[in-house]
Amino acid sequence: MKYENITELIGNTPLLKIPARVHGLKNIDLYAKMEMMNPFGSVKDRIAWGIIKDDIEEIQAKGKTIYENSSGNTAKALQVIANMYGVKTRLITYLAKVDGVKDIVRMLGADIEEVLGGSECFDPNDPNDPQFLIAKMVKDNPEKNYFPSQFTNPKNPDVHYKTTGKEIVDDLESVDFFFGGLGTSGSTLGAARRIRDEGNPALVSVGVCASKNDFIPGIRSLDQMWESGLFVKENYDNFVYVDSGESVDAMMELIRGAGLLCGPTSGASYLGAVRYLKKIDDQLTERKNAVFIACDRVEWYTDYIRERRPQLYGLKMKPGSLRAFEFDPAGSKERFTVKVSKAQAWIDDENPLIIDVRGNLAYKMTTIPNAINIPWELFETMIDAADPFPKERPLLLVCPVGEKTARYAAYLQTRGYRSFSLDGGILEWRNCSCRLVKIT
Amino acid sequence: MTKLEEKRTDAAGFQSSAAEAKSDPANAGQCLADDMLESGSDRKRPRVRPAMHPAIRRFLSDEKLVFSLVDGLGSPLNVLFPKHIEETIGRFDQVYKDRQLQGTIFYTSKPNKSMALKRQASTTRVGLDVSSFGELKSALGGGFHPERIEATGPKNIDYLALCVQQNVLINVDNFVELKQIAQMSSYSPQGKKARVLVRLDGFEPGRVKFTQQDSAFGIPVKDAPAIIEFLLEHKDSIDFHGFSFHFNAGDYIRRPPAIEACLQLTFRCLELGLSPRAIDVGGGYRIRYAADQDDWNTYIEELKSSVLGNRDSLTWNDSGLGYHREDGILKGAPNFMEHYHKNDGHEDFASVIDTPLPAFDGYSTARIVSDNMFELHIEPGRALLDQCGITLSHVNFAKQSILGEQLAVLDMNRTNLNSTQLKLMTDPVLIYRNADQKPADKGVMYVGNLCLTHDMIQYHKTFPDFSPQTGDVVAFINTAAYQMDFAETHVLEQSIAKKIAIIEGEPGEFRWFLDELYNPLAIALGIKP
Repeated sequence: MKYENITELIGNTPLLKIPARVHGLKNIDLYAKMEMMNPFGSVKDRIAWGIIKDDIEEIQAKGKTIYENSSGNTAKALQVIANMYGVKTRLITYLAKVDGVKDIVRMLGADIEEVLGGSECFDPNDPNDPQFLIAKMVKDNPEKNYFPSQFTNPKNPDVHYKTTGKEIVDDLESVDFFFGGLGTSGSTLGAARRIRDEGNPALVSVGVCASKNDFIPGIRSLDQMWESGLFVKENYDNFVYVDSGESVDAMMELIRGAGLLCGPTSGASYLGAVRYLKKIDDQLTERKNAVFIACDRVEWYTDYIRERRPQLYGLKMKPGSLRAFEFDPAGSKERFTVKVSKAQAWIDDENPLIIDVRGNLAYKMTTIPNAINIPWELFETMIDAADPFPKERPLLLVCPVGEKTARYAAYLQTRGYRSFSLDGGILEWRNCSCRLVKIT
Repeated sequence: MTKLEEKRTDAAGFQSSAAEAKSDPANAGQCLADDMLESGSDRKRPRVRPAMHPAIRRFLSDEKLVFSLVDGLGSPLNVLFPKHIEETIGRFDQVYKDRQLQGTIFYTSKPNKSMALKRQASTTRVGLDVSSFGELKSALGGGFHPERIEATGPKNIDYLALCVQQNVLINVDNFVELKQIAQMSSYSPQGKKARVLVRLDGFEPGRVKFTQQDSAFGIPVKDAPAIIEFLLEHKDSIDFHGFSFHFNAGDYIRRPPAIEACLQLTFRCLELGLSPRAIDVGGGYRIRYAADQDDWNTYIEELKSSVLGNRDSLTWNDSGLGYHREDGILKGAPNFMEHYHKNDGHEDFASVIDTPLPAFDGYSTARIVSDNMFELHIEPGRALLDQCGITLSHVNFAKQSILGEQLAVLDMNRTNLNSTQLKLMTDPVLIYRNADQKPADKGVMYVGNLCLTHDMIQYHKTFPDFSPQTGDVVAFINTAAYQMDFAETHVLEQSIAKKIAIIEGEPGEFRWFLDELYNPLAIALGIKP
């Protein structure tokens, strides 16, 4: 298939049936609306293009700047489109929580300004709120500034009515359940309205929410939804709350079970769908269809996922490694420590390799004479992986108070090193007025 | 137990509740929102149950004791649990230990005048932060050696002179103070230099931009070179300990650039020949007032719903507590605090010092401070007083407001709960004395004893099982920080609350002392066993 312009690739995404062995529902077919296959990677491609396409030539001609309250998927799509038209953007948001997405938006050339908000959530009335700041800037200079305003623009649900909803109805004869994360609420409102209008007026539409103190990208709590300009509670039949850690688990189920490389927000919608549907699955006498939105891809969420499920990154303990070493700080300390009072004489006799494991800045400010510096993050990797030092020469390990190095010394002794920790660390050394040097 | 709701008080601690029940593997983490949205009584009569220490729950269950105390000592009555401060200090201390940090946790006098709390704190490793001449005198009387005391705030000459004479650590607010300290140095105790911290503000935003907020406190960071020059000139009389700053709770974005600036200046001072040894990152750590996240969310959702006209009002005169309706959409911002945080107190503190600092290769504050053998000082005013006190009041009578609200008129007034700025949104615990209890279907609002309109104790409606009647006792939970006596006055010659300190022997066995007669050393020695 040939295309002239990448924006033609937006929309018309496939509907993928999730295998029943993955979700375990007996009487319901569950489909993922593959919004992650949009050209810029997310469901937000539709609204970014849908909202500005009629205005983009005027924006270009008049040299206007596009402002938006996003540093996530909407920002990414807007930035790509703006680049193609040679239009400037300015993105103003609260401190973004997913650095992976933000880094890509920066890489695309966006000017992101992060503001300090009075509250932790979207609050259009806070004088520091992005929505408020942008509205003010645009009002002050409407000839030069353009604000798509995804949170309040009725074109947002309209785009989903005209495209997302229509595509689902065209692909599936009947849709009985529809699940989507509540963010701007545009996709759930628009698509569900279309399905009701054309297919099944009895469609059950369910909004998936995050708990107020939790964070799932692009999803908010029901409490916060009251402040969205678009949200209409009555258009939802129900709401489901999900937790961010479990959303990551659900995402992994899709990734490993269905080959769907979707992100945590898709995991949240899938989790909400499965939990909701499991309660009614058994009572059904005829087959039903359900659709959830797989809104974007997994790649930019690695840090987010690591925070919640570190075990996915193979942080397993290899036997004999430092991580697996069980240290008893109370047990015969004299075997692997050197007291400050005896340290100078011991150093003179044994000529140890002295390793200061504090940060380089601290090492340069002040350290023990003749010490070299290997900050502990590096040191741990070095001793876990290999034998970086000669075993004949004693090691004297130094940290701020001697706790970290006591463990290292005890561990290295099990590996055949003559390793010792300076008892009480460099703090005790300083308190005893021993000689310190500055590295210049 | 009367109508205290039975709650889990398992080993995990007093703050466990439905929120924790939800994280049980059995019904893991999920909750159909319609359970919360439509399930009748909860939504119609939303409750914000207070987070409550098990000892406070046991105390309130001893109705005879509670009635006799309020009857005998008068209403309102502030009840302190000094032992609980040790538990909180222990949790902050653990954050220090886990990161091998040196330095001092300063207990702050300002949120509560109680002598019992000061004396209890003096038996732990904390220092004491005072912010007036009067507080400094009380601190000395409360058992704190001057070397454990830090003096903050704007200082008049008497306050400053006493600080110099007692050799307390002076957190300097402005250049005038610093010059006065240098001039007074010959009056210091023999051979001792005046010990000072310098409070800075006006930090430049880093990569993260924020709108500058004005402040009356501290010295602008751009004036730091002049301060350093002055400190170098007066090295013989002033012992400079380091830089400090303080932000309010929730100001997370402003802290990393502030810490970076203070650390960079500290290194600069070291290079120039001063010997700063500490950085003071202030306080601003939060308390979890509500027992349960869902309770809190539900109340706020219903409050917003009421402002939008979708349900009966939840606020006095339908004032909305900061919210209002405009073109069918909710506008405004809450004029009350968040009452539930996932990470409060010591966890909040830990997250501040564990945040990576871009200017220091992504090392955390804790790492830089520990590596360089600096001391880390903090002043967690509110957070240390978590679960340290409650406020009791008699109910004078029940009546209907002119527009038909059910009122409980208490024998206390709004100055006794300083509810003007810090609205306490948790439900008070009711201890019923009357046998003929009337259901409180429409909810209750608490009003004070001042002959003034709008002496509201709480501006929002609560939903107890029964309507409080004459003689019943109402207990407001977790009032020790800023709410007991912070802004209390003898307005209309009404009484101010007496304070008593409670200690528990065997579980459920309570003894009380007038606040000023509580002496943990005397108790430990068996003289007041």
